[in-house]
Amino acid sequence: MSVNLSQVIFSYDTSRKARLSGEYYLKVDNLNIKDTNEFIAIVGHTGSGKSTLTHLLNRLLIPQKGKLVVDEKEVTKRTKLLPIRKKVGLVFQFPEYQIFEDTVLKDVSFGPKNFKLDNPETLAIEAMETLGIADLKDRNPFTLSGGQMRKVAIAGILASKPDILVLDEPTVGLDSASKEELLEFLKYLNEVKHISIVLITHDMEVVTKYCRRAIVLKKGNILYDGDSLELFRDEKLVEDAHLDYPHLTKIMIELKKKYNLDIDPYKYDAASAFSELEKALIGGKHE
Amino acid sequence: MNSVVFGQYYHANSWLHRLDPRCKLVSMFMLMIGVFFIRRLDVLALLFALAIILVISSKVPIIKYLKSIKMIATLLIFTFVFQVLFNKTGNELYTFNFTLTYFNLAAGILLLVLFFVLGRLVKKLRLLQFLATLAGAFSLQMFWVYGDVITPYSITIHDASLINSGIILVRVLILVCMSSCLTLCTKPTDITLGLDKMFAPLKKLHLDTSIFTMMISIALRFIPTLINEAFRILRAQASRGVEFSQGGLIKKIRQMVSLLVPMFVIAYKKAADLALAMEARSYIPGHDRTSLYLLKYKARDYIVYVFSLLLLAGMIVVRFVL
Repeated sequence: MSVNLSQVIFSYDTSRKARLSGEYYLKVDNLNIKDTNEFIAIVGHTGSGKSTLTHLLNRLLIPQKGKLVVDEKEVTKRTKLLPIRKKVGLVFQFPEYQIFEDTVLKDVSFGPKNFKLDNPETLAIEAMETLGIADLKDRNPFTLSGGQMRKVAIAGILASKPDILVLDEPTVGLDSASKEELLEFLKYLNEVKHISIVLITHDMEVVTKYCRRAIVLKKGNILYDGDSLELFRDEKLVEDAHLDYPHLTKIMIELKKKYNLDIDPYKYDAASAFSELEKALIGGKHE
Repeated sequence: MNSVVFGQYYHANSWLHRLDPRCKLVSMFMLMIGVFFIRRLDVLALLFALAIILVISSKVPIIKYLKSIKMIATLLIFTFVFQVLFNKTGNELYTFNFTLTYFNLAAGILLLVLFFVLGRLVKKLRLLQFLATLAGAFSLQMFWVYGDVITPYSITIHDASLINSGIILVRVLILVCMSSCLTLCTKPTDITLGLDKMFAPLKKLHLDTSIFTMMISIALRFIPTLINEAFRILRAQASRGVEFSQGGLIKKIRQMVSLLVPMFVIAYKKAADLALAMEARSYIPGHDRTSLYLLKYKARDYIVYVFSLLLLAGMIVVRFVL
């Protein structure tokens, strides 16, 4: 089962003038996201439409044209939105946008209650245990640190048992240890719980290390939708979308250029980069 | 939320846009006071014509003014109707005779039900729909007398009450046009700057108005930001299953709490950050500060001052002498 956007045109300006001019903020010809085992990165420059795209996935925004198909059923004006919102859970960039209760437990169980799930408190505690924040359940969420708040926000969505978890720049403002911990946790959710993860990020290391698929946006258009590792082989695309290379790849490309090495620079972890370099150097391929 | 016109500056290049904000504020204030002096419909009609000239010469699309009139249209129509119906001063002008029968009572109720059902399908022009429903219900009682009569009754229109309601209507229309003229042609920051300069002499009486004008300008600057934040929170909560348009009263209160608490948190955080940022840039409340934009009167400002003064004097003369 999946979520599919086709021939979608969205604009924040709904005036007649904007409609007639044909200008749009985001245009999606076809985008399909499966509800199991996907790990997708959405990348692009600021204002390219990344967040807008994710808000279209669970009908938080309604496009002017095109259709959203969830589990092979087209979403229309009459479609009940709660099941769609439950299926595609969205964690906003800043947790304070969604936290409002006086205890963490109440806040995390807010979603399951709205979705009328059985035993919302149990679901909330389960989600908090998965994230390792069960001991915070009686704390006031506004007294927590940034990283803890983000975990509470994620638990709040996770407790509603979504099939697709969308996170808008979840690692912004986190220290490297918390960032690593959060990403490993997302990997666990993806590999063990088979939840599809969609991640908006500017961090190319995250794209190559964790994501299997990448969607590149530029000025509201999808430039690339495919394998996350193959993405960087297209130099023109990387430049066009104002993306950065992962640090290791950058070094490899520089080395290849400077010493005319016969290597494949598109290696994204230290071990494979090292063996590629070793092969070239010890094999006497360099000049 | 987008239909709130007050405080929505429209960029254009008209003489009203170019006027000094102090001149606009003072002249508008004088004209508004003058309008309350006038109790003659013919003079008010002239003033209304003047307001229309201002509106047209402001180069702001008329629709913007109509939007602000629309906000108070319901109030205006009801005031007008109630004045005409219940204020029985002056000579009788016309008497409407109605007959309430069981049939046209039932038909009236049916029309009302139709109005509510229609409301679910056509969400626009609700006021017009309501007026059409009322007109339909009353014309049935006038022209379709069928079945057992419950009671006949009549409504008499008096000439003085009609004129009085007209005066109220035109007076409010003038006030709305003029105040919208001010807000549509003057940036909120310019209004506060104008107020700041106008009240600056009060500093000699140890009343520092610059703090208040700073507060007003910051508040105005934060309105669009907070509206954007509100939409963002709405979406964040909607993704957690909140349906803002549905549910009973208690559910609605709970939904509002889920919107208001994060709003307060964000507003407070932004305010605290801004206060620190201002302090970091050496802002000290009450200290003498120079202005980046200096206000300077030009010939056109003096002309407008003189014209407004003459107009106010004229209105006082009309009220007390003529």
